[in-house]
Amino acid sequence: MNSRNELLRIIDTELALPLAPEHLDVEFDRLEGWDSVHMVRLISAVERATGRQVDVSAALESRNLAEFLTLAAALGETA
Amino acid sequence: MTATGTERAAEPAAPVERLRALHRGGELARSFPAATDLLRRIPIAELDTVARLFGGLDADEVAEHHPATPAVRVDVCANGTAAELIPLLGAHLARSGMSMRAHSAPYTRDHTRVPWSEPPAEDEGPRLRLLLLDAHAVVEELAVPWDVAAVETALGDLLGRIEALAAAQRAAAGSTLVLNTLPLPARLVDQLVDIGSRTRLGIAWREFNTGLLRIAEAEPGTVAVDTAPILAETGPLYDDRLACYARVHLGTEFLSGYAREVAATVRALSGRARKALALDLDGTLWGGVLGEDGPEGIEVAGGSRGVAYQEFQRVLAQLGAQGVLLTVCSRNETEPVERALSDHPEMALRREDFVALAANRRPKPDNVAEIARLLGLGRDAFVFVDDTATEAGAMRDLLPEVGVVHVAGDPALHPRRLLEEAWFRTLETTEEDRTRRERYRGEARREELRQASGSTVDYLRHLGVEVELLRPAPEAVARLAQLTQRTNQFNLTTERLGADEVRDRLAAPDHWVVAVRSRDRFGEHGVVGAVFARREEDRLTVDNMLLSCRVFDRGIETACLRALLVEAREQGCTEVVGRYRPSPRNGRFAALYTDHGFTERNPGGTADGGAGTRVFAHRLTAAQGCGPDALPDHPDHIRLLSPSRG
Repeated sequence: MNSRNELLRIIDTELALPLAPEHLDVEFDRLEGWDSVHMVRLISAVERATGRQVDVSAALESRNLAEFLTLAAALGETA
Repeated sequence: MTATGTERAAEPAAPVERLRALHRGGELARSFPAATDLLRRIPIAELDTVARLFGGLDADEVAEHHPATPAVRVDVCANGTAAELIPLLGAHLARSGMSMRAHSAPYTRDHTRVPWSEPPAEDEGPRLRLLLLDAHAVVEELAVPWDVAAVETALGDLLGRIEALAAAQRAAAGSTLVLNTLPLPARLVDQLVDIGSRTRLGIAWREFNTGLLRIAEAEPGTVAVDTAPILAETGPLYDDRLACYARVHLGTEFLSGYAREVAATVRALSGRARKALALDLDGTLWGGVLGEDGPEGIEVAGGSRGVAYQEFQRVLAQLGAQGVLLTVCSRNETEPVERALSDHPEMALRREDFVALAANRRPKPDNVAEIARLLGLGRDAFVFVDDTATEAGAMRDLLPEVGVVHVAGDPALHPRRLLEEAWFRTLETTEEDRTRRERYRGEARREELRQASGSTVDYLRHLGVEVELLRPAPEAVARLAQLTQRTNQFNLTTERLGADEVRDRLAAPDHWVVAVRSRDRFGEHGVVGAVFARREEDRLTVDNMLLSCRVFDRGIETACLRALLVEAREQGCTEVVGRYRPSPRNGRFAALYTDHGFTERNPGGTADGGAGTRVFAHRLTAAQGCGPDALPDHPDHIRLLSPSRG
């Protein structure tokens, strides 16, 4: 899980939220349609897709999707 | 023979993909009935995969396009984070054909002060108030270190507050309060080290849950969802990390099970419970094929899987005893079915358990519509159960109001597939429900159902039948031999062949061996038939022709015979001869050849092929002042691939 496109695809299919690449850098409180529940869903979805555990407390503290992606990408590196 | 055209009708996209496309295009509300139909094609246990799509669905927009769609108003008050619940409820209700107006009410410790929404007076649809509690409603009351007495106190206090809420609910006419029993998390009980304390905690917890169920039993405006069966079917109650950091104390799988129960409650409240079952027989109520295997050959209690069919029959009997009307919808013939149900020693269900019996050759959607008419029920009162993908798919497409349970695969799963949908949930059953079966029974109704036969053109067109005639590859030899050995009904001479005999005929230049493959829009059926013929000078003799009962009544035999006649003519034959040797099971096809433009030779007399064998001939060329016999028409609804001998 390390490409922006892959993250966008998961967000689209699992969260039913069609976002564009530029939205990844928008802070969550300014990201239209985003609420805190989405992060909970996203964590579960990424864990299902990768079979690895995300650092949940860090993920919940990330300020935008790009930050979350950095966390998720770290999963792949330990593979 | 090789396929000349292998392109197939495009596979319809999977329901999940089609729902996502509707959502992406902003079409969910406008296409609400289509969304309902797609949701019904997704197994109910997998509904959480599409639930997000229904989180933001606007009931007003649904009403704008589909004013008859019932809208359910649901207030959710949960002590933990249950944001996942609303989309799940939306999806489960949409699957039941209902839209949802959801409102989240903030949790307060004093339950009588929960700010439920105040819907406008003209809003007459079902209204639910969900108080969704998890164990934290108790845990939060405990100071470390705690003992069982502290838990008992907290539970008693919580039950008192719930009781007060249920009492206040009496004044809220028109809405229903939905409580739930509290799941007992391992996390809580495992913090106690001594077995005595653990036992007392278990007792206190169960007493609380029993008390809560008693409140629901006593208060008319209150129901309870018992979470124990949900917990038995779902994974861990929560994810430790999400519970700790995000207060998600009830996981998605559990919430989906809870949403399913709530949707079933709404259906019960609004009189939308189903009332009748239309049951397939072969592969559904018993193993094997009655027409092929005979009553002694089907698996009802014996055989490797008989125990599973027996169990399924018992489940059906249990439903029947509570007023669910059982009917038969089978492609078998009536008499053997009547006999099997009456005489088979192992049946848990008997003829008198069924109020109508449609065992005939009509399309099943026609039969269900006819049974509904005879019983004076709407089609939307029916649930159809079948193990065949084509039958289940055709019913979904042609009678979308009928509930469909496709019991594929192992019969041990049949009870789950049927019961997991809570089709028949009602608020209570009455004596009238229990005696309904008697009122509906009657010989006259049965007689009426027996008359019809044959498939309608619309039905056949919908199936999109494709037939491919091919020279069998060596790998197909075993399957062809198996067809000759196992097929009893459409087996015109019941000549059984071993694999070596099939191989010999394939290798012999004067023998024609044709494999018949078939598929339809619901799936691939593989090699379903065969023709064994041999050429002697200008005559082609069809030694045997076979077709699996899975594909009867689709005109496949007509397409095959016509293609064979055409091919024989092109190869310079002047005549095709067919043979039919009666057996106890193949009487249904005694007239096959005469129905297809053949004339019987020496009717009543004996002919080649042994005693009792009847011989039919089809003239391909003019002779003795007579023209050639007419070719049977190719059935329009069948797409024939590779009609020429390669």
